[in-house]
Amino acid sequence: MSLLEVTDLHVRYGAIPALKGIDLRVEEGELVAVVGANGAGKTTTLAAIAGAHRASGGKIILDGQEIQRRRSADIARRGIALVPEDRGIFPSLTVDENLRLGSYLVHDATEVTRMRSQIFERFPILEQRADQGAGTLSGGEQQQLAIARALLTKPRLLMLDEPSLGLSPALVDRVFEVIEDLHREGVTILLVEQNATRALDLADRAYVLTTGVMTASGTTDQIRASVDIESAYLGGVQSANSEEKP
Amino acid sequence: MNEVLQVVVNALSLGSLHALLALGLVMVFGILKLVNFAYGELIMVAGYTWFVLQPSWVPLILIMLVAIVAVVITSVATERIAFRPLRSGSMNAMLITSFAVSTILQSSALIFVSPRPSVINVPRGLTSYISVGPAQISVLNLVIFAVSIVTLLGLMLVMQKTRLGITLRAAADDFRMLQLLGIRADQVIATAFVISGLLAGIAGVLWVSRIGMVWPTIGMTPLLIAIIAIVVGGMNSLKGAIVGGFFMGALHIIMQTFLPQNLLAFLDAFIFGVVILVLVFRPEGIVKGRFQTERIG
Repeated sequence: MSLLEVTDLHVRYGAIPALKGIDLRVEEGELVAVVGANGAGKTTTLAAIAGAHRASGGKIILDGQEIQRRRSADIARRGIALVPEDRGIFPSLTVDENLRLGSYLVHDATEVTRMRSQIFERFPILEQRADQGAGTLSGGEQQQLAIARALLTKPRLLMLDEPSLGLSPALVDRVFEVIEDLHREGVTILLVEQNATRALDLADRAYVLTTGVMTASGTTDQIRASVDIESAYLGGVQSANSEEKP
Repeated sequence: MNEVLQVVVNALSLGSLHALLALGLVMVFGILKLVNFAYGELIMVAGYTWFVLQPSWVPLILIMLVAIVAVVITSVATERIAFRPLRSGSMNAMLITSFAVSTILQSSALIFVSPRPSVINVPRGLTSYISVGPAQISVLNLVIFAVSIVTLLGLMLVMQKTRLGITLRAAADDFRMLQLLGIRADQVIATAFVISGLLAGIAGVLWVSRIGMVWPTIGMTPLLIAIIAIVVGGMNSLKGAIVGGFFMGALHIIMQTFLPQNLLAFLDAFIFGVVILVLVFRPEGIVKGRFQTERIG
């Protein structure tokens, strides 16, 4: 059984269909990338899985249980953490307070301390900036804070929406390094990224989304072989499902 | 000099009371983007609870505490019964609901208690004056200032240092993100109404002590003051509400003291004139806040 299984997912913004029946699955420990052009529906896919946007049809199954009608807080409690495109940090709170909200549902103080020291080992800058207002952090630091906070929720599935967006090339490298480390440590990741080349370098499998339709899926090698990545990035991919059917 | 000391004490007293009122209103506004027009009626509930209990053997301090608890219960009940079912609806529906709750509470007082003002027995000790040098200072004003300041400091401490306070501040920043971290909206909003009710309860008891009476529409003036205070102070922060409250209180006392006798009939016009001037130069209010602008369903 897959950790996450999305079947025939439809999402609408009023009369406009944003997702037109997409299928997607994520196995435990996998890093799955969803690539596609601006407006393809990548962010909507993550928002629907996280419960931030209500699906108008289809099923989202986490660990065998349907979650498409559940509220976002309940979905988060079931182990799905979303790092949104805008990072979603609380600007009027300090870095430390942001992190405390990440571990809100962990009631064992010793466990929280252990998790925080792990986080500070991974993101030393956050320890240095612990008492600083989160709104005053640079873009890269905010991204690190957003990922760190999501990790403190002890997610079964970490969803990252455009983590490289708006960052300098050096910071993009750093963010992708972190994602690679997390994957190596066994964290299950669903990555949405416009930078298709970088995303495919990291991922085990990938999906190509074009204007609300999954136009290709498979291992990253299959995707590279069958899809013109530049075309996918620009939104020009036609239906070319390359996933081998069982 | 005597006059200056009296003006300072009176301004601080009224300002701190207005700050409490404003803070209670902004606590809900910050999260729901709802100006709760039923907020004034919470003051009325405090007054009538006091009025109903005053003939009993119950000591005054206990009556006051019961009045505050009654206001908290009313506040939470309005959230649970009236606002929660409509939260995902339009803002207009929420606003109309708050008017409806206000009317229902007023009408209940009108029907079940009295349409006329009812006298509250404020203890003689509170209505007396103490001499500080040649100045005569109202004991009630000192008590109001002390209680309000302790409440404001306590609330600030809770908001800054506790998990509950951090959660409420985060909710005002970005409620959707808070939910994505697994924190339930109902829980946070109910807590905001508890704190709003607590502040309204304390402010209500103090307000009624000043006036010595309670009537069904007593809440209109404090509601208006709270709304103006949060607009002038800055609608998007707790600090703004406190600053706005103190500003309105101080402005009222200063105008009342220094306006010529023949212009006192126009006191409100002068106060609102200054408010308009402040808003012309600082349309976002005295304190620039950073609450989210998006409403939560």
